[in-house]
Amino acid sequence: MSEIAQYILSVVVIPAAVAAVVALPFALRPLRDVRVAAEAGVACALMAAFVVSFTNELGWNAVVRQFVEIPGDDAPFERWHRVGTTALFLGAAAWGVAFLRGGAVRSRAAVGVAAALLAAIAAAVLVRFPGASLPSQLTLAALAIGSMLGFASVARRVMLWAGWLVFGLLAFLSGEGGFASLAVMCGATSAACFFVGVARAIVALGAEISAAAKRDAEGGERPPAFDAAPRGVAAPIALGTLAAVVAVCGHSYNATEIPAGFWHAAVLLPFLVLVADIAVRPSVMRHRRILGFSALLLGAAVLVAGYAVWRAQATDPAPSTDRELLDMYGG
Amino acid sequence: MKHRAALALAVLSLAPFASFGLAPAAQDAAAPAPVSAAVAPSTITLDPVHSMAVFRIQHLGAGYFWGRFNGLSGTAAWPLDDTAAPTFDVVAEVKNVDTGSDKLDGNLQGPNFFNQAEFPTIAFKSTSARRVGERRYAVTGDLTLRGVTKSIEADCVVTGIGKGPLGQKVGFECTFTLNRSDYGMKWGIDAPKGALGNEVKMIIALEGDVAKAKN
Repeated sequence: MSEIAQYILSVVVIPAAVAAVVALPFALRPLRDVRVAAEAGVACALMAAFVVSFTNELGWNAVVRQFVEIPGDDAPFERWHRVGTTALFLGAAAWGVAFLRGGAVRSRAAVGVAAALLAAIAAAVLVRFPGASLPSQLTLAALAIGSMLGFASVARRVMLWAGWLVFGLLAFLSGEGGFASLAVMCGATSAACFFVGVARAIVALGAEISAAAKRDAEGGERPPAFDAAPRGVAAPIALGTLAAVVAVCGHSYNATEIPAGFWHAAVLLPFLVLVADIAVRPSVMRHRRILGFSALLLGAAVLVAGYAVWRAQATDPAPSTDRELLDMYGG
Repeated sequence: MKHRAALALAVLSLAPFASFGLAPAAQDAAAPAPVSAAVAPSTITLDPVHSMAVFRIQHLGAGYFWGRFNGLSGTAAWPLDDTAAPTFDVVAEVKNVDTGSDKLDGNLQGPNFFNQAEFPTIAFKSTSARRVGERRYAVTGDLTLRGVTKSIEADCVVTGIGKGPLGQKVGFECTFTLNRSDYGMKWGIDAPKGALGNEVKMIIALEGDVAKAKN
């Protein structure tokens, strides 16, 4: 196996596979019937993909040195390493959110909203990249809230596919911005969304076939089918917050000066599902998943095409061949 | 005989200028021996247009890839009669990296390599030097790269003393090798394995203006 293939395996494929393995039990009985586990499990698995990719790329020291001094470690602290810590916290916080919501039967929605706001505020206050300012941190918080809202409500039915495309686009922009490490971490998260989405879709299909067979054999009402989209708010909070943090991080270190609009558009991609819903809702209510997914795909393609046009136009002028006399003779 | 006399006359006519470093060709070809009476080191302000750092690194275990940092700034000090070692305080800005490819420049400025957003400059400050030959010194100093400071030794040569429109100019060339992993720049060494070498050869070309003596 070539060195580059080994690298991709280590920082993209293995982390995504880890996420799929972690997430699978939460799609199966008995865990999928346990509300807390079903809500937190997928979020935790997706964040695990980012964290495993981060640590395979940089080592655990990159996380640990953000909190304590490591003897013999003279590597510099770099602020962008906060993205790994963010994913780690979000994965752990998903369980906290799920437990709180599980205990609060009457105010479950309020707990979800509070958790989302808290995640956005914490990201804006604690995660600061070079050039951070009040407007940039407010933008981070707004992006996080917007993205969470997009994943949780607008694109809920196609959440994992939306995650696949959002993080895929962020990986693309990171790579274009000269940030290979962030690109592979986003790539791992994108692949994790894809793998987990496929696994849950297969389980849902199996459940559908089984339910249909049961109905045919026993008659009566059709048992409720398994929903491939993750339950609750833990996954949208984790995906939305991480996407916003990654976008702001990528833009902050963006040496090739990709405009902020591309990063923001990638994060807010799930809102295209809403546009598709509004445009054709009356006629194709039964095909909303396919419609939403098509809108996401189209949006991603438009964003990449827009980027290609921008890149083609943003060519530097040819270097001047005229050199001033003073330059030649050392003025 | 007639030719020899003309040559001797020419050498004699240049001699007064040579002692003040005003005859570049003669200076380069045969540097004068150090004079016994020590002269105070001249402060030399580096000229960013003519000062640069060139680096070389192996790509994919195959060819050597070259890039450069343009526009080095800072100061040096050296007595023009070579009675003492030079000192250097040089700064390179990461944004000035130039490989001939905008995309590659962007990669090098990014967090995987120089991390320009967090560590915008690379600095070298000499701490000591020992003479190893005529106008040649092993200069030890602190190199700060990506927030990590380590001592390195550079082989520095005075390449010449010349005259520009605004006064005297002195040139130096320093060469050293470093392991980039020592400065936390590890991408491409182990992962992806062998994409880029660890050892980086640096050649620093400096030219500066000698400060005019105050009356």
